[in-house]
Amino acid sequence: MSRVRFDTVSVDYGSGPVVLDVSLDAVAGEWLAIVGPNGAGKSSLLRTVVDAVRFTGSVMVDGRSTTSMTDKERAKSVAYVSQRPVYPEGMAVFDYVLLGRTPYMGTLASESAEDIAFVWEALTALRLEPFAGRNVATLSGGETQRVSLARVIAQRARILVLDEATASLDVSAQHEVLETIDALRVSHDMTVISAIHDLTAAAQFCDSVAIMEQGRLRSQGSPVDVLTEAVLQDVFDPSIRVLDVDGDPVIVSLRSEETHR
Amino acid sequence: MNAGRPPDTRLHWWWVGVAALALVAAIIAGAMIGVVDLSPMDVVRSTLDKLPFVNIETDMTVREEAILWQIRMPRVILGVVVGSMLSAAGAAYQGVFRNPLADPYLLGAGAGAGLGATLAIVYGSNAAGWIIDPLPLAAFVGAIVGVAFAYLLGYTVRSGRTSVTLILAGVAVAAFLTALQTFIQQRESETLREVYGWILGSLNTAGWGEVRLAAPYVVVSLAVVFGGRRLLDVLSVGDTDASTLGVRPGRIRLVIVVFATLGTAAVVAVSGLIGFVGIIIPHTVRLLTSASYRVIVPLSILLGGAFLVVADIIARTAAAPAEIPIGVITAIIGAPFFAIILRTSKGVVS
Repeated sequence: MSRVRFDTVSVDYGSGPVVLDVSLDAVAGEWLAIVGPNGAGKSSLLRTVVDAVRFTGSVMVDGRSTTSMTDKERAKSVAYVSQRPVYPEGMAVFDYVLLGRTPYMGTLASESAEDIAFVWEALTALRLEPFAGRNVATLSGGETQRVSLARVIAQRARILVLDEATASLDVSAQHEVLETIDALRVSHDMTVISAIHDLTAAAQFCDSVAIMEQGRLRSQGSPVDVLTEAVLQDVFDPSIRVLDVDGDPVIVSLRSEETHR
Repeated sequence: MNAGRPPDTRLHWWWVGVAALALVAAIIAGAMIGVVDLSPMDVVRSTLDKLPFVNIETDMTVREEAILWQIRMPRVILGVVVGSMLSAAGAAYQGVFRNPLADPYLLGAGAGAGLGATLAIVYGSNAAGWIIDPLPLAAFVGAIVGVAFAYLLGYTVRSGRTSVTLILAGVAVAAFLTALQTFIQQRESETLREVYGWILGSLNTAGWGEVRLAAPYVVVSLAVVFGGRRLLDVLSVGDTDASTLGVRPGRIRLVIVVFATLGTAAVVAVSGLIGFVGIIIPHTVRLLTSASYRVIVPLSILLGGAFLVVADIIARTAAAPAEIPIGVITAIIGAPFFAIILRTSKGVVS
């Protein structure tokens, strides 16, 4: 059963299409990775789910077109973490996570006791309780990613759209955040769609991988079927090698013989 | 266990209490201090006496009563109205534009009001048959026209409507209107002093009429900014993130700017272009308490009023019987005070 269905989606900012005729399904409860070189249209495709770009075609969430939903309805089903989230100077972690409750509040209303309870629950789920009063701008990269995820949990959306959420993290922090996302996906019954540069991580964590190239969908399927050396060498670079480490694919780029001495 | 908000994120009652006390103290001081000093007890007793169902005898003479209620109080209350409005509008502009340098005059309200006032002073002063005073009306209309132009320009930019294009549009409109204003002012140099005096801002024309003129706009404007304080926090994560949380950043920005401008135009119409208040009060609150607009907006309203009343006391007494323009005072006492806060505070300017 598909939670999110892209049907012939195209995005054009005015200087030619950046996404062209992409049709793609994200299955309920699964983690779908969107991979591809810089400029392949991954971010633009993800932004169609939250109606943050103009597009043609349709994006269906649980069988409903996102454009037929009100802003609040959409925000209750889809949460989005951008490539470089803004963490306002001086804002407390608690207040940042509370922003996730925005779609549940009236325009002029303040947060209810229920909203506050949801925030604490989200902070607990991400082990952030001790940081509740801390200035969000003073946290480390991995911690701020957890704060963003706590906001998503407080938002109670069943679909999580992540745009390169771990790109700026070191190896161990990235791994920890990906493990956290996977645990939340299971515990909160979420469907995850993420653009991701790290192909090895995509192979390890995701149920399904879609490769994009110059705005078009190249292929979609399970990681082992899609992330093959031939395809990756064609889409990315001839230097790509897919190694097998204990049955898992590890994708690296090797220097050529001429330059490497 | 985890019943409510963590302590660091609350709007503490004692913050509100201290700010409210500061406002009341400033009002009493403003009513007491002047060429004829009144005692604080008389001010308080006479004020209570004005309340319905309260009847308190005071020792004041008829003349003292007249000084208090016809000269001092309207001026003090106008100071509260103007100071609260400029501070709240400054906080609102800083929030919707995510720009710490934003002030109420950012989008051309100041330049538009300046042009309107100059036109009224230069061409309206010999028209004795005016039913209403043309000066405040021209300043009010000028401020609104300036911001309307900036918004239209900013929203017809083809490369994308962001808060930055709006600010740049405001800069262009303000520069253009200021140039027109300067041109007219230089051609009609016999009114230079009057125009310049208006631009520096003053509360010295204050009577109850001015308070009645400005207050309705200010009350509505403050209510909207206060009501939108949580949405200002939502906007602080940027337009894309805010829109994924189910709000429309462009619409919120428009509504807040329209109402903040309405209130700003109304106070500018009766007091001229008093500068600096809209920047330092919200930032002082931010540095001393919290970066959340749920805290900044209400405290700025209270402290902005208090600050301008104190500045006005100095403006009218420091060089008495002459008056110093209040805009000079807000900067002379405001800038060093703000510098100290900036240096000693642990907080952050967003």
